[in-house]
Amino acid sequence: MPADVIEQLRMLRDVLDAHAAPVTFDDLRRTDMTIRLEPESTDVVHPDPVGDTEPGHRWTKRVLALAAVLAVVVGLAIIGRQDRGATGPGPGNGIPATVASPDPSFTITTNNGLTAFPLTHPETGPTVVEVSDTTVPLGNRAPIAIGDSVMLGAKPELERFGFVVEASEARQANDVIELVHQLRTDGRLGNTVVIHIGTNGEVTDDDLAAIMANLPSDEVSSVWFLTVSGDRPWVAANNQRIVTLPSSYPNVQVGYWYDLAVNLPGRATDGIHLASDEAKQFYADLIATWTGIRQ
Amino acid sequence: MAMSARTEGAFAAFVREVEPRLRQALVATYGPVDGREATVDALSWAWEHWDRLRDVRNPGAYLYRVGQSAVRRFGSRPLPVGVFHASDAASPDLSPELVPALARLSTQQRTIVVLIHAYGWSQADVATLLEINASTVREHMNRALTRLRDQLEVRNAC
Repeated sequence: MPADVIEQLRMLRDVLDAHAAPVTFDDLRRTDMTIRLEPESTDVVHPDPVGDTEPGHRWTKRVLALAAVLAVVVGLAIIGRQDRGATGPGPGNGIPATVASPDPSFTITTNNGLTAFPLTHPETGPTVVEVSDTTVPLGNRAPIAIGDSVMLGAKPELERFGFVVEASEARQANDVIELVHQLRTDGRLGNTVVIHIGTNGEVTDDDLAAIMANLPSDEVSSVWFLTVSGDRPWVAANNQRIVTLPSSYPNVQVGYWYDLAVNLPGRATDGIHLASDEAKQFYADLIATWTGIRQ
Repeated sequence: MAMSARTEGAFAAFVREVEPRLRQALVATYGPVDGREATVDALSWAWEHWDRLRDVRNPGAYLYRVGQSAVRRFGSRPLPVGVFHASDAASPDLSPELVPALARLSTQQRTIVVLIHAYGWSQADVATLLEINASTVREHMNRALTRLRDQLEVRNAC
């Protein structure tokens, strides 16, 4: 009779230790301490073109910067929806000429989010699934928001806009690949999918290609990827990959969360998560505005 | 990167303190081969960013994520089941199905169940490492144990 699982796991420790010797300082010396990771100096954000050196004008500049970003964001949303023939709520293209911005008293500083990057193309051949039949018409399916603990913090606020929120803590790209695959298999994907990942680890071009393989433009007309924010070594590289997605996928648009989050009041002390109710509402408002759900 | 002897000494002490649990965490996630390699990468990164790392509140968790990033850089590989076979003779009570069953768990479930039941970590320590709630850790651990038991029982019954 084999030992119980817990007892076996205890015995496993010796096996693991036998195959993974301690790493010493001398070991590191012998490897010349080569940096094998992305250098952190590759910031995705250009220096603030507005400038921030004159305190007397700082507030005005912040408001102008925020207004400019929101105008561009809304403009992109309208253009995107015009391009693909909007099917969402509202007259005409589905979005009014003016879209209410998030709480204007909730002022933030932002850099210019529309930074240009070298365009790259995913080089992968991801797995594609067969879509199951569903009785729910495509246009009636709820928008889906997929993310990590940042999004999880604003789950109730997003749900109030009608989003089905699939967010969990410590989420990695692999989880999202599996989740999107499952959602498609279950026939739950609608016209709009929002994805906010990359805070907890690297998201490679292969990962993004695998996600997009199950979000084809003829099934999901609007996929929004949000850039990520946080003092972590993979954030800049993840953002660089995210912002190039529209060049490869016509149904993808980018929400520049990084630029908006940098000086967002109401974040937790880790500088990543949303702490205050205002910050959570701001996050939800942004996503709802970007996707044309908030009018 | 040039450093003074004092800084080098401080870093060596840091490695002695952080390395065992960092290695255990990355081995629990990626297996002994990739896990150890990721530990080397994470500590190398720590050396290069030593000034910054001293201000990090939870350097172990931070470096764990650096290690995760490193593994993804050299390619996401399945848990190397074969590497354990040589040790089977040394652990006759160890089911040959255990490691394949672990490999079939989700990454998070595997990490949690190995850290808690193989390495003896507390649930709170795992929660701190993964930056998730202790209740989430408990949930993953229970699911992992159930799946392992189901799979091992099924295999043993065949």
